[in-house]
Amino acid sequence: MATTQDGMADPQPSFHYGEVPKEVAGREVKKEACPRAKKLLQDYYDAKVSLDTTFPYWYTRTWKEQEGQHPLVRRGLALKSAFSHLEPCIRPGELLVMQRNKYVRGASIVPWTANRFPLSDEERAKSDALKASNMELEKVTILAKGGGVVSESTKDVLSISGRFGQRMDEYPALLELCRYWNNKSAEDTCHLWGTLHPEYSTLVNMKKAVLMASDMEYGNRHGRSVTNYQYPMQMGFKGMIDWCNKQINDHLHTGKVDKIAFWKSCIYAIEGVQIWIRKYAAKAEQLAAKEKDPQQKKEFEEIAERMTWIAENKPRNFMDAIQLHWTCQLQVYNEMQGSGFSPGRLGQVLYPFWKKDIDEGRITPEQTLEVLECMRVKYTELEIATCVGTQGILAGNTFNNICLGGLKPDGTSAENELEYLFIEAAMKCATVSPTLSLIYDGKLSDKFLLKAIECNKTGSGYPAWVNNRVAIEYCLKKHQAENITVEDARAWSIGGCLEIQPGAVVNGEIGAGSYSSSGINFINVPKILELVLWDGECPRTDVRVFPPHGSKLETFEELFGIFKQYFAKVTRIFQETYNFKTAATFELDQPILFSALSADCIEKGADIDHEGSRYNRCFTTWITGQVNAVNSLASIKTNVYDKKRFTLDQLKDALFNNFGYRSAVDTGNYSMAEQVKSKSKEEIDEAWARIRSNAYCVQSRAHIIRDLQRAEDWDKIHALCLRAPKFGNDDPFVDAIYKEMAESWRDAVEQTLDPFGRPWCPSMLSVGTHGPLGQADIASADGRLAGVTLADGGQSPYPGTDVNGPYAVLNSATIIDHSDYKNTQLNMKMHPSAIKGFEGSRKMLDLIKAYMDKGGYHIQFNVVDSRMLKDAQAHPENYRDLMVRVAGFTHYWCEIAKPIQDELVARTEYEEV
Amino acid sequence: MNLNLETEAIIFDIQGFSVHDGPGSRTLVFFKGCPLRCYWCCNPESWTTQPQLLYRRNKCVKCYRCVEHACAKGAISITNPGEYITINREICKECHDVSCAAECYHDALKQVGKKYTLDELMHKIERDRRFWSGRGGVTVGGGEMMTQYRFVANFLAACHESHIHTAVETTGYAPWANYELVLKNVDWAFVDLKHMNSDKHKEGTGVRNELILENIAQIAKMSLEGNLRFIVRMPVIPNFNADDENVLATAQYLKTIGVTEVNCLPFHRLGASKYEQLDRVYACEDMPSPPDSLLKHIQQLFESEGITCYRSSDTPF
Repeated sequence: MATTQDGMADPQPSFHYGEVPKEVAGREVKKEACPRAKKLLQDYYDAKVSLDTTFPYWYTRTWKEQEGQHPLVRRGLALKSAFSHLEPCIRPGELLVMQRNKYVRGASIVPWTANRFPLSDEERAKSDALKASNMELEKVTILAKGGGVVSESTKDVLSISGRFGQRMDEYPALLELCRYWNNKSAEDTCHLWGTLHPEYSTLVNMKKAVLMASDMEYGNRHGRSVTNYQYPMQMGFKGMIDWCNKQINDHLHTGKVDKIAFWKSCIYAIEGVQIWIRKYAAKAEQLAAKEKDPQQKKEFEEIAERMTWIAENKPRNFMDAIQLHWTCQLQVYNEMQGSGFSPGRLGQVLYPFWKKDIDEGRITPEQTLEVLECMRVKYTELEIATCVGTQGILAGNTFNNICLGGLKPDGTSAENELEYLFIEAAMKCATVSPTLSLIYDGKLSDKFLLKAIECNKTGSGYPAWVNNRVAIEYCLKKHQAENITVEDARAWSIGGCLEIQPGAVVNGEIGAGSYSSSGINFINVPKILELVLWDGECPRTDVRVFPPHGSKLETFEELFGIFKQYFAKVTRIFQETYNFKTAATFELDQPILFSALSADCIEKGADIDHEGSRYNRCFTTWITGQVNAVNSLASIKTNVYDKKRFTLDQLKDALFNNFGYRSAVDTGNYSMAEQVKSKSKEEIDEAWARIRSNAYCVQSRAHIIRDLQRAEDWDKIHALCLRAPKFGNDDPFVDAIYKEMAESWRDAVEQTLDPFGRPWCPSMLSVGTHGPLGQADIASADGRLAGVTLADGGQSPYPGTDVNGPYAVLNSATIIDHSDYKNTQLNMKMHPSAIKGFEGSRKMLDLIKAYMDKGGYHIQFNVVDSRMLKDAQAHPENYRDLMVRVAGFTHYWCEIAKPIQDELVARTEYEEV
Repeated sequence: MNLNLETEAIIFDIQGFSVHDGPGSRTLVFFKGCPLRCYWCCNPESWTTQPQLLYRRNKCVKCYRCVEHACAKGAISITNPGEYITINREICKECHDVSCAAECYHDALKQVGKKYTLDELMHKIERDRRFWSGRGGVTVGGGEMMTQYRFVANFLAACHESHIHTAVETTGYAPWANYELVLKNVDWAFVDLKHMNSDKHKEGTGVRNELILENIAQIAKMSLEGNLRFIVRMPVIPNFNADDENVLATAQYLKTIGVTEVNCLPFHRLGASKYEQLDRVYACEDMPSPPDSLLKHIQQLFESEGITCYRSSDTPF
């Protein structure tokens, strides 16, 4: 009694206000967090995103005092001062302690990196006018307003960047800090350095036309990398300081002043962190002294003892180790403005400590789960303060990605019992961070893989599935010139969303030591096609980006040729200018603590901005909307050139007039299903009726008839555009265009060398950029209307255009060699009924394995009923904890901006009835 | 549409990742045409062999473009201005040129049923097979796939030649000689048994059940000889076949022919919108799905007779 897809079109559930309706809430697997984590999670749900000025205040004050000091030492001292002034905050019930500052969802601005966004609009405008700013991007960025987001100012709290709450009484101090950094910050200096590039004015125009979503050359240049915990785990902070001191003594005769300064800087910064940890110990002791409840008192005492210990020493047990790792995470987030310093293979790093505790009876699996659940809440509380443009990209996520499975350096399966508990904790205490990724390898056990599937069935969106073979191939290929070992390649992990980062084996254990996936911009690929059609000009903003190409575009080959040239040129100019800009910041806000942790930096005496890491080929360029561009090219090839159904000029007229529809930006709906015509059917009928009754004078009659006929032409062109072949249907015609575009772009990226002299890396994943970039694009030849959100990810079909089922999608997606890219990405929406029961789990696993065997790098699932998402849009109050998978990360539905919500609803859902 | 019956067929859907129609994940091919007219049918677009026109009112914007451009025979008209279009199905019945659907810009008119050659179909299947991961295969369904049995026999033979696991879903209503041709290359068969009483059967489906029962017995024999796995399916239609008497009679019959497994599929209304799209009236528009308690009761009855009963999609395959 199988029914075809059409039969599922119209079920109309009745929804009730106040609770999630039963017919959509049906989830096969649903678990509950432990009471302790539940309480902490409630604190989080109730907390607002808040800015604290302690860190930037003390940093800036010391920085000023130390003027004239070696820049590295000056930064080390400033960091020490800032860390040692942070106020400790311990909440009852916590097992792991420490947070970024005194607020639960606390963030701090980092004005030496980005100082302009907290200033008033007028003050920003003065400087922005002169540089390649992101004002245009910010104009089209729509932010989320739900959850803990502070989107409106009140009497006492100022909203900054539409997300962060700043106490009014501290705002003058914040302004003063930001103004001090005028012309000194990375944000300001990188623009000055950027002008060294002869084509800098083109970059300015590229940004005005929103050819890219990026302000990241300063604001988010670090991250998408993996934190290495092995040094503190193996020698403790004291051991690291001793090591630095030894390096100084051993190298005084070498004349390498910068190295000595780096080690000294590390020592200062670590000392700052030690003071901060000891303040937590002291606070816990105070709380214990006052505490009446014996259980809570005991816990405070344990915290005091543990913090005192880890301030100096290597961990003795699992609790020490997991606390130490969290301390390391926080110190990295506090020292830099960046996102995605992922914990990597954390379950494998912590395993030896845990195994010893389990074997010797110091901890039980239940106790472990409780700690892991609390850890999830901690990660979810992390916030990064950035400007509006960056938020549009990050969507408020911090991209802390834990990898499970994969192989050990010796090539055996790396799965362990602690990782099962990581998965279980993520099922019980479902929060957006850390997200989980499963490194699929044929050597993993089915038991482990099916456990991961069970987790997918909770609807949390994690784990994402990534392919070990593809990633190892990537590492061996792209880091070959750096003499990567097969052991380090096997120790790879995801940095950020999905970026492949080579591992670094440290004394036999899995660690990390690679440069940030710096570069992060997202090239707006459909916009490049707009430039080709409009002879170098952006039709939305009238900004001329390139001189006219002058071609009549008489053949498809000519058009595609210019498209590829433009794509390469945009890529080159972005990458070259980024090199200049980022170099401006190497002596200003380079990571000291992250470097001290990273494999080989202390050994080499260099921070990661000076090639201290073991692996350094990491400068990366991303693209967004390439599936829309490919579909548009396929439509133009079919309709204009092969079948000659309309001319290029007719197409341009239709695109420019949005096929007679109103813009999505006006209507506030961002998926194709909800677009409205600028003239209603009734209005058109009436116009024709009046023409028939000769209601107009001759002149206006002709005019009106012409307009009406033009609108009819647009309808026809639109229909033909919508029906042209689409990527994701296993159609060789359009898949070949995808392949050619992707490969020519890949080669273009690798033509430019990064500041270290290594080729840049191509990467495909959209994060949240398919929202704002879509808003900056006019209608496209694939039938997508103006302002509508672009396709997500790297290989996801455009929502609603994949009509041949999931197998066809997976086939199209593997048309390229995924191991050529630092990441690729495919999102799939799956109806819960399709994978129900044990057999359903096995079938889902079959599908994943088949995709991996075929060479796909990444796939992730939203196991959700679309009706639930629609209901959640209508009644967000019922869905505070609903999580969905966006494009490489899981996030709270209510903290996602509407353009992305609309795209999620529209994704094709795979269901079987 | 003229077909070479050996190498061409009218197929109305091909679904990858079908997970409830045989072991593993499968690709399900829906053949058009069926001699039965079960009043609860969820695929009414499968009844006739030829391609047909669906009219999806929820997609229609009433632009009336189709009225002028789509049909030269005048089958599409406006009865009431401002309302949905009217399709004269009598004219359509004689016409199998569904190119009219292409004239609708909003996909409100849609062609259902498309000609496939054996090669085209095999190409799709070869593409899908890597995603079954070893345990799945092809399931041939419909409609009644036996209406195009010559093509189906060739298709299943081609599957076996390519080492693809094959399953069929059939009403059991076709001459045994035709089944012999098809079943040569079948690893797994689902046959519906809708009612034990032949008069009742005719009332509900339009045909008597003698031929079906004979065929079921023959297939059971093949199954006992180890040639294929055989699962009898019973659609559970309240007020038609869900009474104890019929269930027990079914169980008795299955026992006598040596069948040990039955899969009960509860009635659902997911096909309702397609009746409207075909301008047909659905007799079960307001009929609710049977409650779980009824299914459990039927399961108990079967199991009391020693027959393993799987409810709905809760199967061990």
